[in-house]
Order: sequence, then C-alpha cells, then structure tokens
Amino acid sequence: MMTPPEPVHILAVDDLPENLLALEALLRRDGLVMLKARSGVEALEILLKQDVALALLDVQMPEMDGFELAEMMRGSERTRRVPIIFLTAGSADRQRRFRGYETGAVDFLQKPIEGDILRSKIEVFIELYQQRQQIAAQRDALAATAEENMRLLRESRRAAEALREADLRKDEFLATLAHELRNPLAPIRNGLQILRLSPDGPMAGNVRDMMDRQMTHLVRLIDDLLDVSRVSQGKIDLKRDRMTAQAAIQAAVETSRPLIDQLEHHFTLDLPEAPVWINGDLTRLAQVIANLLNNAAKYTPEGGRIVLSLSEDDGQAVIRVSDTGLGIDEDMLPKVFDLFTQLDRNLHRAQGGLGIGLALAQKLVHMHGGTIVARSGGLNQGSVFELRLPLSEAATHDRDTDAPVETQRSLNVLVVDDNRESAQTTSWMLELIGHTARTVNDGYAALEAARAEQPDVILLDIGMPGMNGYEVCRELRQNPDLNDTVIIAQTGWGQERDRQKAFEAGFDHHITKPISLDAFTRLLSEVTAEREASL
Amino acid sequence: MKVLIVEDNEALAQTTGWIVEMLGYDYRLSLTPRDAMAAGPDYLPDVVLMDIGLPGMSGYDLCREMRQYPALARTVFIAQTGWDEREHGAQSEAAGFRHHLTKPVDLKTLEGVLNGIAEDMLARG
Repeated sequence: MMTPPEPVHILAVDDLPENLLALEALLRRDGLVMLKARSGVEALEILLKQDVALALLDVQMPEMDGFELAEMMRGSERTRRVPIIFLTAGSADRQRRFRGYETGAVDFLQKPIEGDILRSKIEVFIELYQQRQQIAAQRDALAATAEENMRLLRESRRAAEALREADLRKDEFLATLAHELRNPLAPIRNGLQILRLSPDGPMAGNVRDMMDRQMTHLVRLIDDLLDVSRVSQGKIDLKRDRMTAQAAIQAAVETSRPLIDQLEHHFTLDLPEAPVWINGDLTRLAQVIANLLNNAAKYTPEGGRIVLSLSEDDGQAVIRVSDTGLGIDEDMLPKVFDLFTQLDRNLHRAQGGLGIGLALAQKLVHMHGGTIVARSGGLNQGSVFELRLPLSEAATHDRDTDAPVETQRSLNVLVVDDNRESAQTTSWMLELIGHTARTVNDGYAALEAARAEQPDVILLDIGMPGMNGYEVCRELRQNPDLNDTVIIAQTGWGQERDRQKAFEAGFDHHITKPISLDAFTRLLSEVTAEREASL
Repeated sequence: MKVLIVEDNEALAQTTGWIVEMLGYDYRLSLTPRDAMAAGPDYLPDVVLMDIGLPGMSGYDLCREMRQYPALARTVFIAQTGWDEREHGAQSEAAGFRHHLTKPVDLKTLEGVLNGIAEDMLARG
C-alpha cells in the first residue's frame, strides 16, 4: 500500500536570515517544504507542531546554540529521532564534532555549503523518513485491523453467548408453557368426564364452576402470551386518554382482590383524595398494576401484608406495590423484567405463571413514557415495585362515567361462523340472555339470510373460508335494507390491526373470541341503547 | 376402599377426588408431600394416587418414604406423570409403584385400575 505523496518538511535553523534564504534557494524542489527558524526557541516551537524529516542546524547561534538545541530535541520523544545535520562555519575540531555526534548529529557540513552534496545527503534522509512513515502507517493499519478483529471476535462471542442463553430460556419457557397449559386443561378434562357420567349429579354445579375458573385461567395465559408477542413486535396501540391513576388502581384491585383475599393477605390501599391525572390507557395500566398485585399475592406466604400506594413526585405519579413476601435475590433483581424469567420454578411451582407478566408490564409502562423498578432487601425480605408515570396537565373536566346501560329489548341476531360449534354455543348464549338467534356457517348463506330476515344484529366471524368477514360485511353494507343493522366483527384473540380493518369494512363493533356472557350482555345492551337513541 | 390423592394442582386434585367418589370409593386430598406423609398413617389409605412432579420432593422419593410406614405395607401406590414424563415407567417401578398412569388420566383406565385393586382386596379378604 503506497501512501499518497505528502510534502516532506525539513527544518532549517540559522540566526542569519540570509543563510536561511540561501538554503531555501538551494533546496527548493516539489514536495519539499522548508521550515525556517531564526533561533533554537523558534525551532522548538515549530517542532511542536510539525513532524520533520531532517533538521539542519547552525551551530553558532546566540542564546541557544545548535548543540543545545540538538540536546533538547534529543530529550523529547517527539523529536528524538529527527536526524540532525550541523552546519558549521570553518572546520570543526574533533572535540566539537564529538559533542555534536553525542547530541545526535548524523553529519557535519561545512559552510560554505556545496549544493550537490547537501542535496544528495538530504535526499537520503528524506527517503529514510518516507520509508519510516510508510512503515509506521502500515503498522498502525495492522494494529487497527487487529484491534477491529478483536472487537468483532468479542462481539460475536457475546452475541453467541446471548443467543445460547436466549435459546436456553426459550427451551425452559416451552417446558413451562406446556406445563402451565396442562395445569388448567387436566381438571377441565376431568370435569368433562364427570359431567358426562353424571350431568346433574350433586357435584355438577361445582364442576362447572371449576371448569369456568380453569377456562378463564387458560384464556388469560394465552392472552398474556399473545400480548407479549404483539408488544414485542410493536403491534399494540395504546388507547390513551386523560385519566386518573386512581381509576387504573381501582380496576386493578378489583381484578386482584379475590386472589389477595383467598391467600388471606392484609391489603392496604393508600390513595390521595385529589385525583392524580395521567395520560394513559386505562385497561393496560390496570393490567400492569394487577400484575404487580398478583405477583405480590403469589410470592408472599399466606397472611402477609401488601400495600399499594399512590403519590405525586417530581411531575410523576408514583404507584408503589410492596409486600412482605419471598423477596428477590440480588442476582435476580436486574433480570426480573426479562422475558421468560421466573423465580426458581421448582421452588414456587405451585404459583405457576409463565414469567412474562413483568416483561409485559415493563414494556407497557415504557410505552407510556414511564419507568418501573424492583427493589428488595433479598430473599424473604419482601419486595417493592415502583411504577412512575408522567403526570398530565391539571384537570379541565371530569370525564362522564359511562354507566352500563340496562336494557332488555330482545334482538334478532344472525350468527355467522364457519366453526359450527362456536356458532351454536354463541346462539345458545344469545338465547339465554333473551335474544333470538339463527346461525349460518359461511358468507354466502349469511348474505342470503340477511336479505331474507333483516336482523337487528349480525355477528360475523372474520376468518372464514371462501368469503371472509370483511368481504361479507362490505357486501352487506351495499344493501340499503340493512342500514339499521348493527354488524359486529368477531375475531380470534383481538389484533389491533384487525380492529382497524373491521371498521374500514363497515363494522360497527369489534369483539374478540372467546366472548364471555358478560361482555355479550354489555355489548348488546349498548347496541339496543344506540338504536333507541337514534330512533 | 380409601384412596389418598397426592397432587399439587388443586383443581386437578379436586376433580380426581370427585371422579374417585363417583366410582364409589372414599378419597382424601393431599396437596403437598408433607401433607401426604401426615395423612398416610392417619387415613390409612388402601390406594395412594400420586403425582410425580410435586413441589419440594419428587413422587418417587415420597413413595419410598411412605412405604416405610408398616401401616401402609399393603397399600397400593399408583404413579401419575405428566405428558413430559412418560419415559419414567422403570423408575416408578423401582420406587415401589404398582401402577403407572399418564396424565390426564382417562376415566375408564382409572376405573379399571381401582376396581382391579378392590377385587384383589376382596379376594385377599
């Protein structure tokens, strides 16, 4: 590799300007720059700023003579290796020459200077200098390459290690997942066997309650799983609104209270009376807080103490959940928010869980521009989770609380789902809450039935073979007879994108399967209320 | 015939209990190994239906421990293992289990095993 030709600098030091000019004239050629100094001090200043290939020093100068200058150059790392040619007036005696060589001179030239000799000597030194520069450049390049290689090696080792760890955690997670899914499934299967043998036996009611609880648990697990994957892929949109932190806390407490009570914990709620306004997604924040409360309940031995407090600090709402439970080992503290991290699975197996709750909580909090931290004094010292969210500006108005509308007008509902069993059970549920329902199992049948009956409500599954729900809905919206019909999209495990798409296709509402009876009742009450309001 | 059900999944324990009851036998539940150790000499079960993956102590160890009780010398131990532990048949035999069932246990299978044990008991007197 050749370095591009850079000008080579040499330094000439002489107290007489005419000597300097003469030297310059003598040595003038392309690629060579002569730096001139009138004294040793000036020379040292120049040397501080510029590397030179060679120094031509006049020996006899006032103040600092050439030898002194040479000694000083010798003393500095930067200039130690600069070759020096002394220019002497008259013949120098042996002793003087010896001193010169001692200070690092490579040559002596007597004035008057013979141009050819000086030029040829200088050429030798310049060539040496250039070679040295080139070697230095190559050495630097090699060193840089070696360093870069080392860095890449370290980086790839780190990446491999991270990958290995992620892989390990994935395997553990899959094992945990299988276990956690089986836990509710096994009793559900038992329950089915019991009901089949004795549908109305003395345990039937208990069995059904149990199956309902286990099913709820199963649905929650799967919801969490999907949530975490959607959050990770950035597919969750927050529906943010001005809201009070108290609202999220109340909703969370409602969710977690049964578990807290069941484990006989003492629960204290410490809320300020004045509303603490934040800008957030109520459902998601309630989910986060409920997760913290559930963890506190699960990881605290029965009869423990759990405190949830809310305060304002430094422009932030501070929500703190503390417990007197198992606490968190120092090693585990930084990892508790990692995906698939769980406290020792064997130790706390009875508590179950997938190790995704806190990861999900942290992601949701970050999406709100907030932070969440865990603290613990160590094992059996309890733990504190602190959630901080930016406050929103002072309240301008209280939002109307939308009380659930009670209404019992019977609706005529058309249920469209290619899963016959799903359609059938949905229609049973509808009839149970006082509506009439008819089921069809594909889009074409739906169009026909809608034309014939003009139902009040069409409950339309999205993922159907042949004609999907969006297409059916667009088609239905072409029919002016169905202007008053409320069309509700039904999708598996609600994806936000589907929701958007559903509204574009002309749906009035969007709900996700599986639908609970409560949700159904509420939604259809709303539908009735809307219809009555518009009449 | 008395059946002690040792299972840490409470809902599974309860429903298994109901099934055992429907099959006409008496049952008691133990959700932890410690509880089972205490229930053994107290309840004197004819059959112990035991989950292998228990918290704190494996079902194999618990089975060995419980078989030390002279009062349980004639008790039949049945291992129940999860879907991920099917290969453990030999191990469970070594620990002293007479039967090995894979979860979720099919009603017919459980009925067959329990009725078989009951008939043996009758035959032995």
